[in-house]
Amino acid sequence: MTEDIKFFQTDNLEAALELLADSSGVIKPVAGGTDLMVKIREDRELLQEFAGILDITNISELQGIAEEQDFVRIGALVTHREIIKSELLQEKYPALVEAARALGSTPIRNRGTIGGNVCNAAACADTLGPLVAFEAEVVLASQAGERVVPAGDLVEKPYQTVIRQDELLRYFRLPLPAEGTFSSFQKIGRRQAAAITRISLVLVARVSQGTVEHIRIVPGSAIPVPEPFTALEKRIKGQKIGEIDSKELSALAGEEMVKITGERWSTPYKKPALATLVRRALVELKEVADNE
Amino acid sequence: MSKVKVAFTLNDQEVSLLVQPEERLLDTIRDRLNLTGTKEGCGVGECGACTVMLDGQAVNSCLVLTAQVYGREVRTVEGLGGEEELDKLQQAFIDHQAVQCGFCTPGMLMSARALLDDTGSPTREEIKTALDGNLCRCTGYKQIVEAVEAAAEAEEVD
Ligand SMILES: Cc1cc2nc3c(=O)[nH]c(=O)nc-3n(C[C@H](O)[C@H](O)[C@H](O)COP(=O)(O)OP(=O)(O)OC[C@H]3O[C@@H](n4cnc5c(N)ncnc54)[C@H](O)[C@@H]3O)c2cc1C
Ligand code: FES
Ligand code: FES
Repeated sequence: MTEDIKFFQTDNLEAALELLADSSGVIKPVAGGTDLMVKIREDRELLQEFAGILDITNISELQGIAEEQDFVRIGALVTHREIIKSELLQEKYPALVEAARALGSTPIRNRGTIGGNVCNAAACADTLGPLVAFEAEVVLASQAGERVVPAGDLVEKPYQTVIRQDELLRYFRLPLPAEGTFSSFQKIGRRQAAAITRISLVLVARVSQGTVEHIRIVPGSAIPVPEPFTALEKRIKGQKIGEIDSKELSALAGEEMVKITGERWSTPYKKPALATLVRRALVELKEVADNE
Repeated sequence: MSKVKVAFTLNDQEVSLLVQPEERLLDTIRDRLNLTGTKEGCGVGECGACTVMLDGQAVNSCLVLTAQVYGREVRTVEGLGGEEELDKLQQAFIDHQAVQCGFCTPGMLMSARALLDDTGSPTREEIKTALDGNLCRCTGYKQIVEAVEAAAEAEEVD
């Protein structure tokens, strides 16, 4: 029975945080609903865990994309559609835009938010990898004030983040990339449309005078929680771009994955798939660097 | 039961009613407002049979809480076209045999309407992207894409 569940709606952040802080029961925030509604559909019992549902979609502090002094701010409520349409994001963070473009289907992108994607924290959440690779910070708000968590530390395990029940994800802070930064998002889905990602990869790099000065390689859904492949990055950083052996390095990516996950039933598929994505991203990087 | 009062615009008319907190827009439209053009297929955002326009954008009404649409504008397939005439898309779907069993058609029409309102003369690629959340078991999509192209052209002429 869902006798007592209440629905709350407010455009006021303070009022929302006050509701969430009320310890008499769990108030569940809902943004686009594209994750939450599916979960409720699959398990109606879930509703019993909530004292209420809080619609956060009208809270302006959680909306909008803006360039600030030395970072770009992306509100938690920014939809995938807005990300795709943003010229600022297209220019500065193309891999994030590509991730949004490859996510779900048009109605899902119209309604689903970047905040919801990250808070839901599925292993296959497509925007998480780019956020980690661009070294974004996540600004969380509660009645006690704000705290800032690096995107890479937000997810503890699939479907579990460090965000507390009394907190809302307010916005993401993406440092402005240095001049000449290249980024690429690669994804293999089981189905063209509406496929939850099986495996994806983000590469962010900067090549200066033929040398790789900065590199971040973050796989999505190949490992439970997106984190950079630091061993692989070490091998590439400081190298001459012309001397990079994409094939050898992509094999290394597969090995780094296995180091993190151990051998699993899915390993024989994921290892070569991941290697392919790494190779593709490195080939793209080389092409771009050659044209400079 | 803690019902929620919700008021919104449905096909250009103000509606106001009490709903359950967890009620889906799809159920409100079909069961309470008796507009059964909008269909339920999968119920989990995969098939697009339930697509409606929310503030001009295509959304899956099976994933929207009715209480969330307070103050917003919803359009269903019943709200296409005028009193007497069909929407150009509806006419084009008929002319191009883009309808077989018809189950996907209302959703397809709403996705296509949202596209044409947003993008005057879409490319074929843009049409395919706009329809990527609508499954059709019957037609193989070719006729549907052609119908949308034809409707876009017809609207440009006007
Ligand atoms: C058919 C289909 C296909 C999909 N395909 C993909 C895909 O390819 N890739 C992918 O990554 N995802 C995919 N998704 C998942 C989903 O669409 C995305 O994760 C989306 O971004 C979720 O955003 P939302 O606003 O709809 O989240 P909601 O469902 O509203 O919320 C999700 C969770 O986050 C919490 N939450 C939301 N916002 C906040 C906030 N600001 N602060 C604190 N907590 C918050 C909610 O309480 C809830 O627990 C798909 C979903 C469907 C139904
Ligand atoms: S019924 Fe809503 S998408 Fe299938
Ligand atoms: S016409 Fe039958 S599903 Fe499309």
